[in-house]
Amino acid sequence: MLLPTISRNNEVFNEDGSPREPYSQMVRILSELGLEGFRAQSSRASLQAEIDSFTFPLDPLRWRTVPTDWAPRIIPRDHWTKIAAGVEQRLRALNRFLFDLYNGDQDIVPRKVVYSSAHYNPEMQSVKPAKEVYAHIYGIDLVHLGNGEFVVLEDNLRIPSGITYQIKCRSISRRFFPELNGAYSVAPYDIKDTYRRLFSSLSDSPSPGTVILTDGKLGSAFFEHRYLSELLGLPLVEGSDLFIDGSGNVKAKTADGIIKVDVIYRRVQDLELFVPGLTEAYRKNKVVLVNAMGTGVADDKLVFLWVPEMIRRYLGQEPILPHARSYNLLDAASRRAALRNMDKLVFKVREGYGGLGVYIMPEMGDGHRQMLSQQVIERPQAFIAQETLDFSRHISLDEQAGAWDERFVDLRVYAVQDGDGKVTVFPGGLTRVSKPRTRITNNSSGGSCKPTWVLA
Amino acid sequence: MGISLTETFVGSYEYTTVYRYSDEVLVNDDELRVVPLEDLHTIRGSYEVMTTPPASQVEFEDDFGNTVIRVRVTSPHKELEVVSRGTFKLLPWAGPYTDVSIDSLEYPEHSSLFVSPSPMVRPDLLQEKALEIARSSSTLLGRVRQVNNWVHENILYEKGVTSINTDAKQVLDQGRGVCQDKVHLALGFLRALSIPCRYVSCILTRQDGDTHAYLEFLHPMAGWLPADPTKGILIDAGTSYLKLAVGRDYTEASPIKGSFLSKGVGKLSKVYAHVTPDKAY
Repeated sequence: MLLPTISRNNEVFNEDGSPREPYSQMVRILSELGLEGFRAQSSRASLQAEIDSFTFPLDPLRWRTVPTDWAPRIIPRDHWTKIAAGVEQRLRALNRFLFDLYNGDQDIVPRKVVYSSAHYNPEMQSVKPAKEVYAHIYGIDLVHLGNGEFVVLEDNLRIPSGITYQIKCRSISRRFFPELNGAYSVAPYDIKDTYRRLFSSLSDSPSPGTVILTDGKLGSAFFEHRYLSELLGLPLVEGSDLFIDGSGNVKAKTADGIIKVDVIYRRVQDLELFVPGLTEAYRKNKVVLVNAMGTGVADDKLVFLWVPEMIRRYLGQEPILPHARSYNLLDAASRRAALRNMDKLVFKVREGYGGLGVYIMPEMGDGHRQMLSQQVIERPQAFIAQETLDFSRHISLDEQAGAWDERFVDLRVYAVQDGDGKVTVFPGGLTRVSKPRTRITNNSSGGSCKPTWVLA
Repeated sequence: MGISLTETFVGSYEYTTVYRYSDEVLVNDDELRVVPLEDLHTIRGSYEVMTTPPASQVEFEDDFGNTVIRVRVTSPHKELEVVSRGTFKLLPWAGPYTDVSIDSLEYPEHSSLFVSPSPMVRPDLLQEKALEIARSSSTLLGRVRQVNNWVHENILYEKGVTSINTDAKQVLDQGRGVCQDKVHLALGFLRALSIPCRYVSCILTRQDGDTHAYLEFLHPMAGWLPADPTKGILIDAGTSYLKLAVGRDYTEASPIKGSFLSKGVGKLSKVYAHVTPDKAY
């Protein structure tokens, strides 16, 4: 047995210590390898990650390899079938909502909630994006409550990042853990092909000029930007490389000279700051943006509350993936209920990301409680509250203790909706592992990644 | 002037604000609360809000019922002008109102929002002083009058010593400020005394210039009634105010709230409100 104690909701083991169905081979292989054997293979894998510049910046002069916990998470086929259907359903509903918000008269989310959202963009009112799709690339955060019940915590529609971590984690783990790789047949996916089809489906040009817009080497996702540029064979440009010419077209200065840009796969938030005049060019349909301008309003943590209703209204279906129970703190009755049950809830800053501004009350002290209730009363519009979920844990090698440990894991799944109406959900995703004794799993808060294999 | 404080006032308003920036602004994204707010005494006629450079705008009603115009300007600019104009009809505010003993005061649950702390007003820090000021009275109107008078008389009206970030406690400590500061302090005292109250931003109908602030407190039978700690007015405000927005404090009722992207800094360079009475009336 690998673990000293086992929680009720451990994905690898039953409470009696026997491995759960998909993990029996993995547990056998890890036992045969022994702690030292696994450690040795892990450090070779981590070295490869470092050589491949699988890094994020700590400050302008220092980089750090993305911390990875190499024992893979294995998702059985039946769990995945339900996840993929639920993710596709949600993405389609969110895109319908965005179209209705900017081009119709949606009445699902109260006007005051959407129009006061920081990411609502009044300039996109009545502007139709190419093929009427707003969120082309989507990341959804799920947690597993056991028995294949995955619950949605958040949607990421602005600039969902981390898809290359999914690719990288998987490819390195399969190469450096040949015994494990040999024991499982893992579902394939082709991000390169899907992305290329996405870009060409959005433009009328037979071979659209496509660039990736980055915030540069110091940005936290630069590894990802560069990796995607190489993978997709697309120029990586910064804001200063783009300009609008006399006839309103968008051009890029690249190593091969000046090219006309039809599609910008943008990886920056404040587009006008990077490329002044881009809004105007976009409004005139001179350029396609992936994701579209104004999309962020749908991943406002408060708008999240109405997504099940969007699914019912736009698709005429019941939501496949359940939703963490959430409180709208602008509503007096909900606010009172949330403050009364404060100790059991998670409070999130509405505009927060990357685990910043997430307050998990069961993990917090009295000082935080006092501070937070004061904040919620003073600025109820700035927060939402959700129930604290007892989600799944996985095994993780604790380097300091030199032993296996249990950690919370979540799952970010990526999907693409292209201009032809096709949705592709990439099997697997990125499992993020918490630090000891917390549920927060984001990399920017010190969490690590875990390879995630879906059984074919 | 031919206009009486005690008669209906019909007229038009024009309110202009100009911001100047030390460098080019690439994005200016703002919520404007510059359209009259209707209540039992205020009837709004036609209205429009325009910006220069022009901006896309949407309109919605916030939690307090204020009409909010959200604008986003992305044509590069070093100056943003907002002009709000329209027509209105005001019915005069005048007493008397029935007074209520503090012991028999009862408010509906939802009004608790207006006794709670808000970003600029922490009633818990003003508890002691509030009791000292109002202790001698045991009625609602009596206590409001004492707070209103105390702030009117003891906080010196002085421009330039406070900013939009000065909170109620700081106003008490400094003993000076403008209308906004006086209102924040009075709100703090009233909330410390468990009297629901809110901030009001308005245009003065008989005085050109800047916007003004006063407060409203909740009367269990009569609803929201005005008090002005800057002018020392309680209820009998007549038709002096054209109300623009209410909130728990300035942060929720300010005429402009938003953000801009620029290397430079912004500065309010002009505010001008002007009301023209309708001659035909």
